Amino acid sequence: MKCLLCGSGIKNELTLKQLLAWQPVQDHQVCQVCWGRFEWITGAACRGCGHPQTTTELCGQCQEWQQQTGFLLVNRSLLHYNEALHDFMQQYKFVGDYRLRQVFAAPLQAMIATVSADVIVPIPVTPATWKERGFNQVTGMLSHCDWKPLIETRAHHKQERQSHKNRQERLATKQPFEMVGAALAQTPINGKRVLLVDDVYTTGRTLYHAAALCRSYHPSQIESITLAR
Amino acid sequence: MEELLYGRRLLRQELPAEFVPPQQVEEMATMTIQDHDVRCLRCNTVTNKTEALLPRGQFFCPQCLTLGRVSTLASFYHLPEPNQFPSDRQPLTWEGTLSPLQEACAREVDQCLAHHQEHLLWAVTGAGKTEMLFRALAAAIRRGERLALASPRVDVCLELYPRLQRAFGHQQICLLHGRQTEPYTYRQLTICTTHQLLRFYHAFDNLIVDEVDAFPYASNPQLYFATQQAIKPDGGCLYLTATPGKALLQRVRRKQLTISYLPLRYHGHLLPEIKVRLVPKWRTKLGRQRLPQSLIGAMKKRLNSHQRFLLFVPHVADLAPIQTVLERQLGIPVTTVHAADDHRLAKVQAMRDEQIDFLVTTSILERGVTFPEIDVLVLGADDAVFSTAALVQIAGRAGRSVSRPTGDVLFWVGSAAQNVTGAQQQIKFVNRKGRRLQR
Repeated sequence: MKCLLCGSGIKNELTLKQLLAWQPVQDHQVCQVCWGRFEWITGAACRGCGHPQTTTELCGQCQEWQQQTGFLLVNRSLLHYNEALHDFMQQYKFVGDYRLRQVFAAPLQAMIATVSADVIVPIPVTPATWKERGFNQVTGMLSHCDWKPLIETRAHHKQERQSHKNRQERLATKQPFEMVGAALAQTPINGKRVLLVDDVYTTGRTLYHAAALCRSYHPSQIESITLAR
Repeated sequence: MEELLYGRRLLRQELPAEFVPPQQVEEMATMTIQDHDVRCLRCNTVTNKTEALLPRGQFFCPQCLTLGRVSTLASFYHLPEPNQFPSDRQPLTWEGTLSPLQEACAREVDQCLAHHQEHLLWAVTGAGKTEMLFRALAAAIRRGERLALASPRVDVCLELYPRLQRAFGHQQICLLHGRQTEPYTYRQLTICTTHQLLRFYHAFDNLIVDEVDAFPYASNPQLYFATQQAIKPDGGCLYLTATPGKALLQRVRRKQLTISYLPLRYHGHLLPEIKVRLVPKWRTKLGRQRLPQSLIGAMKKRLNSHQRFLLFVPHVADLAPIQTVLERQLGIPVTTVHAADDHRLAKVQAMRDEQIDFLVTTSILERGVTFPEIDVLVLGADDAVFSTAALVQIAGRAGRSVSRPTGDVLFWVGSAAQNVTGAQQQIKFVNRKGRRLQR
């Protein structure tokens, strides 16, 4: 086995616990050194966006969102967006190493399982991205989840990547999503608990757009989970 | 802008955004899909379908991602090499002279390039290989051929570039390696790392690969494939090395490859032979903050007589403890250098400028660097990180100048090892050939 991030060799040795548990064994995809560079969000965090901080009070960003949109989206994230995660996203999304979907698939899906949701809705990528990248980085990580492609990017949406914009430009982005009628007919969300899933929560713009769109179909609850914050 | 594609095979993303592919551009497939696996047509790596699969039934190559992802979503752009160069009747501005031995070898190289042969030149370390290429390169430039000089090591490329630029004053040479920021330009003569050859396709009439035995070329079938792809179907390839590996010598024995030797250095002296000292358990002793007395003695002796030297050790992790022990025992500051050292270039330069008398280093200084009049000491030469080729190269750092054509090469080993005896045998072999020429 080679580390998917740095290419150094990994020894996957069976522990006694794994042996006795008699469960399928999850091999490490990443070496200890690379794995140690990621910061997991474990302690106190903003009760809105999940940003790690000393208290659970609403952060300034979330207060602004609440004022602006009239609702608060409760978000939870697995990891802190540090340099290691930046490099990871670079390699996964922009270089296009689709193998990296396996790195955080298990912990992300475990986190999704802790939230009681009826419908899991991943944030889509644009058709242009599909043509160039050939995958959606979010659904890649949701291999064992039963997710529904309820939203997609509008055909006329001006296509510039969020990651290429600064904060002001990001916040000024117009609603890029629309509901997929056919999928919605199959899985109506009124009265249901909806969980949005995205890769990175930066300003919250994307998720608030998606949440606002879903809210117009009257779900009972709407929350979100992202890989990084 | 068309010339960006001459003899190259590129993905859309490797071209400038404003580039409009011309009408006659050839679009080529990027991968072949077989029953259970896919083959990347850039690096020739075969990957299992499950690993290379993208969600909508497409495939990508996980091997050569650093050059830009190859996938079935994209195609390569290519234009055949037109050899569109300004004519240069007198490309060579070098005015040095060659020794009679070098002269004979240079003539041989000239013949190889003229006939587009595949040939191996086994020239000892410090033989003056680069100068021997000049005449052949000049003749090929006059013939209007496109040429490249490739090496697995970026350091070697960086050293070759100014030397060749000086020797071919009117030519503009293109230098390509992974860390550069300057854009690619279409030139008659290219100097590049072997990885960069993956971007060329049927481009070169003659390709010279320097230090074929060096990491990563020797153990990397991708790079061998890249070399073959970069050459025109009727092109020639010249391999240069001081330490040919088994695979190359086997091809020589099978008569698939012609070979010539240059067993003497440019100053006509033999290679210094390796002397081995046995120091069992030196590593355990290092754990107790001690180094072999014979090593300390050898270093003190050289420091007292102002004899400059390099001390090689097997691992980066060994540098710090050895530095501590040496600083205590010798009572002077000790400079260490390794590949990931931020001050690597500055430290090597300080050694070159004679500001320091010695460097403690890992195998990064094994080839391509010349410090005149030095001795070479190696601690733990039996360690598996030193290949036979690496040890021959390390030994070859000694005695490279006319002012001091000999030098000591001392190895301290924990136990007898195949790589050390192999290196001793190789040096003895070329010295035997050399002695015959000296007479």
